[in-house]
Amino acid sequence: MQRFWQAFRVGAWLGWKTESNWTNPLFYILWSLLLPMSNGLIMTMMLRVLQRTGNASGADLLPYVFIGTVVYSIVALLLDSMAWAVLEDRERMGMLKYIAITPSSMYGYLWGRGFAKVSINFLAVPLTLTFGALVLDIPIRLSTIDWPLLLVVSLLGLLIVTFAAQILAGVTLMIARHAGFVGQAVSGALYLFTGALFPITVLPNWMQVITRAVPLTYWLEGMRRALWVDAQNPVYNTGLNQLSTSNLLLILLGSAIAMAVISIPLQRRAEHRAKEKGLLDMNTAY
Amino acid sequence: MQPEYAIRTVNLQRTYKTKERVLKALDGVDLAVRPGELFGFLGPNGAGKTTTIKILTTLLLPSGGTAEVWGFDVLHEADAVRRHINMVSGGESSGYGLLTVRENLWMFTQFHGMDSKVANKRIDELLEVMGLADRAKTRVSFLSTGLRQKMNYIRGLLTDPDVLFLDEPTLGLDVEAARTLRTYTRHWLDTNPGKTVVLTTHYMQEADELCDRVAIISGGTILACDTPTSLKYSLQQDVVFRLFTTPVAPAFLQAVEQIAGVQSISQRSGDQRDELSLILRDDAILPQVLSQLANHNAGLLSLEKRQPTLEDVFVNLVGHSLSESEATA
Ligand SMILES: Nc1ncnc2c1ncn2[C@@H]1O[C@H](COP(=O)(O)OP(=O)(O)O)[C@@H](O)[C@H]1O
Ligand SMILES: [Mg+2]
Repeated sequence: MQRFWQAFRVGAWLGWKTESNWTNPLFYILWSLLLPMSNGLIMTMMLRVLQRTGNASGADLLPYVFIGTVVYSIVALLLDSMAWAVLEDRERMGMLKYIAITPSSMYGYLWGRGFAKVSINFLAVPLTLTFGALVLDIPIRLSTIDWPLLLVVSLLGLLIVTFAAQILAGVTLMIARHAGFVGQAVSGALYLFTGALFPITVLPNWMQVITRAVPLTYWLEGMRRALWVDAQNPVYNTGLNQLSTSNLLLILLGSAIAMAVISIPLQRRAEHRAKEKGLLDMNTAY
Repeated sequence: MQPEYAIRTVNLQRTYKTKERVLKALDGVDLAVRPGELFGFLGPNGAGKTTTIKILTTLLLPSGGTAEVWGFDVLHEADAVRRHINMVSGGESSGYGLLTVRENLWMFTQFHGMDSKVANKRIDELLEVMGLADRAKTRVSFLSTGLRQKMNYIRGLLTDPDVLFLDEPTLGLDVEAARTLRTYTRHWLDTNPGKTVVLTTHYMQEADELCDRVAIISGGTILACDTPTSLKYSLQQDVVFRLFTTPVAPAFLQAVEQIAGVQSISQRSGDQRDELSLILRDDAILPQVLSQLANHNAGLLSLEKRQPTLEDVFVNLVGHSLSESEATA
């Protein structure tokens, strides 16, 4: 455990040092706003166009899409962060082998890198939500936010994504070449299969089945319920409104445990495979 | 507490499987290195030096045999091994470009759980030794490859390892920097009794000058292992000549090898002339070699009798020179 925290601290420190090289807090705030905001705006435009041309069930899905997209921006960042650290350290910096021969914990280090990524970009979420509430009239009000639910759901969700990120890092560790796509591909695919963009009821049946099996679907739903009073209103036909919030929490908790149970031995296995194949230092061209 | 052996391997094997072929990189390596030794691996590119180091530093699993470092098994007690080792490989430009030299070094002391104050003091000392003190606050991306390599060497020493692995540490360094590194490595061993260094090199002279003992490795097997003096002494009964000639044909070399009493001949082709290293049982055989030279229409430019070097030992064992085997590796 001590080795874990030691390595975690170094990973977090390195992440902050190398990924947050802003000299000016104003830049930081702008940076935090720009990316998720432009995403949110694009989604809003698309949605408005679709609703004008397509049918009009009357329900305005903007809050659904907006919250989903903004929260997902953190998912995408965290999910890819550890696999990215493995690649960067191994291939670009040539440092992974020097980390691997220290008596510290590779997990701890990778968790630290992931933590850095999330914490650097975290401010973006409340800032963009505020922007949404003030400018786009998204019905998020400080007085109606369910704070305890928000806290619990955020923590469980981040834990699930962290374990998922660790699995991707493990896979990357076992792949010799062209491993760069792993994190990207998964976070791209999940964008579709988590109901971030649109209610899962619009998906074909088989896609709905997959989506319901992905824990992050429940995380996004939980975040919507915490932030937006009307989230469970049947008019939105989200396909999840029947699920009670306590069951949703149970699903999240179960998922977190399951992900831990999968990812920890997988990481160990990945390190072993990498040592078997000699992949920890990959600066030679074999 | 010092173990009996800093490094001990028994019948160490490693094969690499690629799509095209299965390659036996190590084929039964037996090693026994005592604490306090500066042990050298001398061999051409592709001999298996890096593979050995990678197994001993827990980066690569052996395909067979056993290896212990500081008394711990590399396979089953990797964590314990890691507490006692560090490693530096030369000829690469590694490092986090956005961090300063000091930050890069400090970071690695933290992986070992070193106290920050102690770490910084040691960083200062070693930066001084390697002539990098004025670069402590420079971003690594601004450093030349040579300077990065010096930083990397400091990283290796920083944690005060019991066994330090140096894989071709002077590869790509200028003469001055290479000398500093060698001198300090020796000094570190002399002032820290019990510390052990394993160094690989394909520079004959580096192995000769620096190492207490040298293992000559080629094709994944150790051909000889002894002190440089003893290795050279094995050639004492023989005589070694260096000849410069006008370019000679392969037929000449073959003819010379046929002569009884010729231990080996190796050729290094230069501009307009060849350098030949000749190991003979006896001075008296030299005239026969020279007459072959005439038979093959080549001229003698100069001739020198000299002391055997490790290179000669290598040639005698392998049948061709270090640089020749590199060309074919
Ligand atoms: N990852 C690898 N995959 C396939 N072959 C390899 C790999 N690493 C090394 N080899 C081969 O193994 C042999 C020994 O290599 P190495 O240990 O790097 O030699 P050295 O360090 O003495 O130059 C060489 O023939 C090399 O081509
Ligand atoms: Mg090598």
